Amino acid sequence: MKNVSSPNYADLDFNLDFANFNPEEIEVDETINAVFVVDTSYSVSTYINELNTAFNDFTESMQKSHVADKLFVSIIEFDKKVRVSSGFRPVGSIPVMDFSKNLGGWTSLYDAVFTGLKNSLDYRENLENSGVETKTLLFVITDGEDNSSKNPASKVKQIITKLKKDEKSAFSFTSVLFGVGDQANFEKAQLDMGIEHLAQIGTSGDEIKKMIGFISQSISSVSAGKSLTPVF
Amino acid sequence: MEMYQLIRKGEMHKVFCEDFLLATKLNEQYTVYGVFDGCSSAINSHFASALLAKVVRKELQSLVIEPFNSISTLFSNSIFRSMRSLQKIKNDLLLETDELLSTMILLFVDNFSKKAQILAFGDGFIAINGRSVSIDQNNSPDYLAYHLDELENINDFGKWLNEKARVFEISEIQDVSISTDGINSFQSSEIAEEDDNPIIPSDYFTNNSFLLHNKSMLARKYNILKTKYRMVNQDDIAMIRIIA
Repeated sequence: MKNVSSPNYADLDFNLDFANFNPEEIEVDETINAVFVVDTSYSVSTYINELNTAFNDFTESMQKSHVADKLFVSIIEFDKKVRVSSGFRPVGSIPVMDFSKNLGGWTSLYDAVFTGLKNSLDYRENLENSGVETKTLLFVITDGEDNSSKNPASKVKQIITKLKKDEKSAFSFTSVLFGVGDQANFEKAQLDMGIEHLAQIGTSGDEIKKMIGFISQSISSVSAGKSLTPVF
Repeated sequence: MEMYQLIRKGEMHKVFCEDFLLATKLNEQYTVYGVFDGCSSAINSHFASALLAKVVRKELQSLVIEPFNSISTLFSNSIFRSMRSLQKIKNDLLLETDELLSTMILLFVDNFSKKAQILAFGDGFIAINGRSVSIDQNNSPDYLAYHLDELENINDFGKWLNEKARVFEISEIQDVSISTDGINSFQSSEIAEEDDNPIIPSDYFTNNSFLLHNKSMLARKYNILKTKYRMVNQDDIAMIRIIA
């Protein structure tokens, strides 16, 4: 008998509990759903403190902003494992994040993006069925290329391509990959996954702050009905 | 009482939504809600509906309310004063009558006794505790602005008001909606398949309990009509639903 090897699912959490916010309890008719897919492999330790500070500043300022009522945030962290730190929750209930807590080896970039993307689309469908119009922003922050995913990049690309072809979602979905540092070929990752925009940034505190500033600005623009045109 | 509101531009209007909403609390006892629909074939009708709503609100807010006043008296006084104000504004701004044409449906609620009264000038739609009425004047509404010059010659304004407006008395408000006629203008943007239970937008908005107690109920139902049922309103819509 041919030896059939089972795939190794040990590092993939199939019981991911997204705990997304109940659509029926949402009191607005339009939301902005921002999903952050954040690399927490060992190599990011050079800028992790800056990322923590900038991200938590972002959360604090968004909680006070005019878009607070309609901004929902989901956070996915990844090294070899993909961890759902938060399903979609109102920005007001996003806790202070410490991305240094789970630093690990390897980079399952494609798995993490696939996980975040799939949840955002499932949630989006739930929201639309209950009368909430949704704009989705996918932000991927990584300093390395994929080296341990079970899913190919093409799986992500397939979903994004389909979304962009569909008239209903073409203008309400935007994806940006932030390549931090210069250790990897981010352009290849961007193209292979079909992510629309790429921004390469440095690892200094100022650069990380600039990236988060861009994200805040994008959310405000999308909230005002404008399209997102990344200029760094 | 819970108040839900919705205002949306219709497909056939290129630039402006010509409808307007009003919700104003006079004191602990009385609240007044209104929907206004500017006449599409007139001039700057978005201005007409907004102006009328602002004038009515101002006159409602400046009413002197005595404990013995009935809703009818308060209604009559406020409409009389609104017409007088409108006439003055018309003269001051050199406006034509065609620039003041707007329908008006007002709901006057006594929050203590739960009694209410609806006064309708022109087309629209109302639903009172499960019963719906479409007010249709064949798109030739008898606008309030047509009567501004008659004001000085009206002896009994209360009687005149009862003749010119549709008045609905509500002995106990439970679930009441007032809307402009845009609520009856929904059309499917696709050829609809045979459906044994086709959705009726006016009923969906005013009698259905989905998302009840959620303040975005009407807006979300509007989105569902658009995305799930592919139904869009051709005319502007402004509506208010009150649940006791």
